[in-house]
Amino acid sequence: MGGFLLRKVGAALIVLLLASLLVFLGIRALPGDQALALGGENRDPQVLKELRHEYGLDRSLPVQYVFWLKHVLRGDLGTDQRQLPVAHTIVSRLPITLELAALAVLFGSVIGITAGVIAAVRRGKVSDYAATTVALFGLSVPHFWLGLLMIIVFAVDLHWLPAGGYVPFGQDPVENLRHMVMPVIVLGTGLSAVLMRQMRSSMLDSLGADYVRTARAKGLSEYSVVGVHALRNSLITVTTIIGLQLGALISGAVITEQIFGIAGFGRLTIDAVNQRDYALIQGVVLVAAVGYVVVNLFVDLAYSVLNPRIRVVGAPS
Amino acid sequence: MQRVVARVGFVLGSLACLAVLGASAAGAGREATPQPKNGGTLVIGLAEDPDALDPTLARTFVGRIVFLHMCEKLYDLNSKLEIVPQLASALPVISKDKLTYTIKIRSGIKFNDGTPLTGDAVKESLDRHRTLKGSFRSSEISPIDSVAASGQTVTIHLKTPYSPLTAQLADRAGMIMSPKQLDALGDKFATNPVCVGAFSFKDRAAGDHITLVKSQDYYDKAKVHLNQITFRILTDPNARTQNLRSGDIQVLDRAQATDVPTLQKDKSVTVIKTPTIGYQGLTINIGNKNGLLKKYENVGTPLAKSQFLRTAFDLALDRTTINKVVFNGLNLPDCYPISPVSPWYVTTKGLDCNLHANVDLAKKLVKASGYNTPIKVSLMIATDPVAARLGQVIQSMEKQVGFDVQLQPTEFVSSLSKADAGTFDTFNVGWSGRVDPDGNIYGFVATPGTLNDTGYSNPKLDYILNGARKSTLQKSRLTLYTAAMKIIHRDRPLIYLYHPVNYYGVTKKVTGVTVYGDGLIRADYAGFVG
Repeated sequence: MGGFLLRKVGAALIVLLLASLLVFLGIRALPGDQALALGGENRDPQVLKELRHEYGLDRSLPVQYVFWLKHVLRGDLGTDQRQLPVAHTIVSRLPITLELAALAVLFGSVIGITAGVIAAVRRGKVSDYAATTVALFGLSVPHFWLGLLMIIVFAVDLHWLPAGGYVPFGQDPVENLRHMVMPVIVLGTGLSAVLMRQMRSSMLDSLGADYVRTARAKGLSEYSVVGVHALRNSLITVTTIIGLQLGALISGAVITEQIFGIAGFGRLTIDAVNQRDYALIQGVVLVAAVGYVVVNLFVDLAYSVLNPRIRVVGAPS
Repeated sequence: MQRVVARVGFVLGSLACLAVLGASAAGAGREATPQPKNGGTLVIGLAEDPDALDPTLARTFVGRIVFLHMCEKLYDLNSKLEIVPQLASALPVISKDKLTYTIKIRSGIKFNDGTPLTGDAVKESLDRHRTLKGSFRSSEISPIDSVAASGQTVTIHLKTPYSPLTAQLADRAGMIMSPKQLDALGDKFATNPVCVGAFSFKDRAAGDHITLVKSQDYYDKAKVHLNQITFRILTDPNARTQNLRSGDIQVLDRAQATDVPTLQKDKSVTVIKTPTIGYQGLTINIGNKNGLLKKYENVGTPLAKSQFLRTAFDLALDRTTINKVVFNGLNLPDCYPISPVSPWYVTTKGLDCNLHANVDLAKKLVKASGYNTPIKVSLMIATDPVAARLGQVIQSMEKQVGFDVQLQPTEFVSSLSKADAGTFDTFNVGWSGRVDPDGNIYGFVATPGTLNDTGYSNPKLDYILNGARKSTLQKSRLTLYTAAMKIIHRDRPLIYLYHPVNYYGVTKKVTGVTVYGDGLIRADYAGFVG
């Protein structure tokens, strides 16, 4: 297990270094002078020259990269265009998106797994068709459309829920959840649809497997056959999907946060790109890369816990 | 003659429109007769996130909206966009040689940290604006040579006469920061700015909100009704509109054109219509062959070589149709850089302007130019759908008279780089506008102008514009700018198309929110009713 973990962590560090280099070069490859973006309507050559100097844009690319990397290793991600520390901004935004993503995973998993199991157990019946149809809708509906529709119905017309914004859980738990209801449904709908389809398919495979037939032959209750034997095996595939979808969820959060005016990590990314805020873009991409790497690491570890053969097979001979 | 009639018609139409606006504003004032109650938090949905909340380093438009509530200036604007004293007790006294401005500062005023506003404090801020590394104000007040203070009197010595100075001091260059806070935070002033203002800074979550609370040190705090103002950053225009309609925000910053009819139908919302002092137009590359502010020489394209072709290009444009087709009639078509809401608009009075196309004359001018048609012209536009629509309409209008306009959608920063480098034919770009006409003209068409992407250089125009900068008499400045307008319109280094009109939404539960022609939301004396 130690070697397995070490290999995974080593690979993760290389990925992070490459990601940081790619984003550094990528944003600098964009056409246009960043000083012009910083200067706004002020294009006085003297002002632009000072801006280039202040943001280190007048240095060579390798010098800029090494300078940035040295600061990153000390935990300093620099200062954004608002003169605020990037690390602080990211740290304050990240929990919002993580909460949104976690609640969306919870929502998506509960709905998707339950519907998937029901559809598999009641294959060919009305509940199966209903669940499949709803899943198809969930997969097809664009986030922005569903979000705007929900805002118009539940916020503008019925005044049941706030149209957007965010209240920290620690400040007011009830308001936090009220603000999260619509974004979580919008973000979780796609996931629940994917999970439902995957769960249904896995469960059908499991229910047709020999060990399930054996369990039934032994006279176990239907609850025990479905809930213990078939479900546990089917969850391995679903766990993979959740891990893979987590990345998509964070990407999807960009749109959801934009629609609901939630100042999360996704919106921060969009704003940073729109404003060509180099320090902020580099910071958010690095943190996002760390997030992806860590999630994948946990998924790999979860595999090895759910199925011990994986770490044995993966071990060096 | 037809054009003159059209022009007169437009002026009368504009005046009628303004009169109606004024009447409706007055009407709104009567409806809001019930006094606002004290207390409450006003939430304003901003279209963008402001940059640094430091008057010296700030550069964004939305930042000015936030500053307006917490950082007062030496001078301010009234609803007619005239300059009036704010922290100064009167307009500056200007010496005969126009090189010394003496400004009396109001007594008994305190910063929001309780320290007094003195002449020394004003000097410290002005010196910081002039000298701080990366200052965005330094170029705005570059003619200042030195600042001296004695008690409540500040004396500004100029290197050269510069009449737009008072207008600059009515914007961020005139914002005065607390010396105590400057000492404490230095170039990190933006993290906790302290000035004189109806509200003081409380907190900021980048990209989410900025909160200001009622100041207990403000000299006019009896007029301040709200306990708090929260600026929420809602960059998605749909989300902004829906948040206003649901009651989550009370003031909406700049509604998108497609949402205006929805808001106008909503009985719980008042829509404020404000023509701005900015403009949109087409910059024509005449002499920008080597890059901005480098030796200007004609780039050799047909439009650059022939003033008559530029006139033909302009005459082919039907500004009224452009406004109807592209902007649903929401903007103000015009041919000059000064907006009808500006007191300086009179400088265009009686001057020619084709709000409707004159295709026949345009064709004759193209034929007389001797160039074979179609004459290829590339037009650099933004990448959004509205810019594409505008480009297509221009393309079809120009085709009638013999121009083959090729559209070049270009990302904004790249387009600015290309414009500065001179690698363009024509460029659709706008300007947010300044109160003093110098701010809308000099930088763009004077030879040393830092925004002169057209590479246009006309010694006579330079002489006139420099004269207008030096003159402190309103009457002579009006005469000089009228002369400048004639030259600009004749030579057409820029073809002005329209002045944008902004639309703001305010819930009827709130009174006292106003927007002038500068486009800034003013809610310092606003309050909730009922």
